[in-house]
Amino acid sequence: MTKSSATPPAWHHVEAHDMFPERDHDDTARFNFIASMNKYLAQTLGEGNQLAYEKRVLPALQKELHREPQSRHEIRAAMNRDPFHSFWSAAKRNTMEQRQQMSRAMVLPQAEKLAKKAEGILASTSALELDPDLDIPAYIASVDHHCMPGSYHTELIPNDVSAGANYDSGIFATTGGAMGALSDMAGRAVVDWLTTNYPDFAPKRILDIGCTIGHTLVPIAQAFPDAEVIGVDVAAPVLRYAAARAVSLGADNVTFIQANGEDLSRFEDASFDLVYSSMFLHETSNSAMQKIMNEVSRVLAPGGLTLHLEQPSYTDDMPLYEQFIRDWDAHNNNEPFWTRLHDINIGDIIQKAGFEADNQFVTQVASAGKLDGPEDHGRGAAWHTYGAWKGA
Amino acid sequence: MDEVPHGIHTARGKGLKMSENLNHLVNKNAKGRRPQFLGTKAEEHLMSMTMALMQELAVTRERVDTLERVLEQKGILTKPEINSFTPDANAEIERQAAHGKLIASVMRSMEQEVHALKEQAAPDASQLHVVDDEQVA
Repeated sequence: MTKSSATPPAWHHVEAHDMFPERDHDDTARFNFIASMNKYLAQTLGEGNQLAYEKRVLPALQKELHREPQSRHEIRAAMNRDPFHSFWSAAKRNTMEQRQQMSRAMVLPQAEKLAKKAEGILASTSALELDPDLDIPAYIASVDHHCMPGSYHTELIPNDVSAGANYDSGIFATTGGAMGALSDMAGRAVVDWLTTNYPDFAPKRILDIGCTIGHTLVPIAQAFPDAEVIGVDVAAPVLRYAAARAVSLGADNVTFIQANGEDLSRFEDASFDLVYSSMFLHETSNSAMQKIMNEVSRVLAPGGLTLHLEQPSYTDDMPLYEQFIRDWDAHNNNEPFWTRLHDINIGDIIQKAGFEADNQFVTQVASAGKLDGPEDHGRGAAWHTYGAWKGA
Repeated sequence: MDEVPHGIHTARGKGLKMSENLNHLVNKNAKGRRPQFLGTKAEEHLMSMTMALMQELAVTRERVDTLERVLEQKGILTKPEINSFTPDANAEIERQAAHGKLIASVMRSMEQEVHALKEQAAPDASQLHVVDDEQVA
């Protein structure tokens, strides 16, 4: 049998850096299964949702309302009563929960070993600065995003890194390998975009807000070896893992700091040349997003650049069905702000933070490892990006 | 704390112990409302179990495939020999423990409903509907 492009890459292609959890044959096979199941649900069964909508849900809804549906919320309420969509959603939700369970079953028995390993790797570096008194913001503490029990911040043992190991281990499978062997495609895409469009842009100080395990930060740090690169996140377990992971990958110009992006007061005004976030804003809140953007504006030096890789906002020209299906994660995968974010004009928030409209742009930052076939609603390897240059 | 450089510890980590067995946390619930997609809770559980069984069947098939390919490559084993295999005492214990792990994976959603019920506050006794024995009689 020849290898088909429709087959997701097997999990043994994941690059096992020094912090990567140990896994056995069946762990690998579980991730292989989940990658295949995700692909099947998205690409084989996914169109069933639209067919059910067009063939029976929409006609019934038009009859009931005596008009066209006016919002994705009306469509969702009707689709949730449809037997195909309900069953598809139940299966998809289970894949999210199974992915967490298989990671936890692999990582938790080695949590202590991983914690000690991180401690050893970090002993001779200054790559990690934790703030023992930092409060976890309500938008993180009140819901475990993408069904990740304990979220990014829960500590199970002293110096716990298990949340980071858990997070790292699943990305390759849930993206069908589209993020690359180190799950670093977003960072590589940012580097490609910068070097293609702004070859002379040479940031000396770079900040990643909501960096989690630093998978996006490391390729950027390696592309700008003379820059000082800082990642901030509120969660200690992912930061410990991130720092040890980055050091083990040879990135020696990085520091991971426990801080909330809403309050970057530890950094001076105009002290960064590049400040970015990657798939982060949708896990915050309305008020937090404005505070974060205000801080971004304050810490950026004149001529500096900010980039925010996110899902596209739902605009009036996006069909309501597409808005509905893109919203699935918000309602069914513990991403509550995802749906509200898409009604917000991020440009307005950036402008309110002090970036002039003329200095703003929206672009696509894409990587080479794009999935074949239809996009898996939010998990493809191309990023809708909001950006702005800081005026002189 | 002071003797440890680079601040690896946090206040949140105080009171945590190393060497704690974390197996009971593998099936922990994720905080947040879990939507009900199907008609009843029972259907949700059946769906979860079916999905997990499919997963574990796929995993097992991959393992069997690995074994057969390796053994065949090495010229060690023929298929009839597999059918006549009997585990020794150690293998028996390991295999039974593996069944336990498989069951915890398949039965996750039931376990999580038990967790959720444990978290739920006890109902106010005065609000309970009490069946009057005399009426029934």
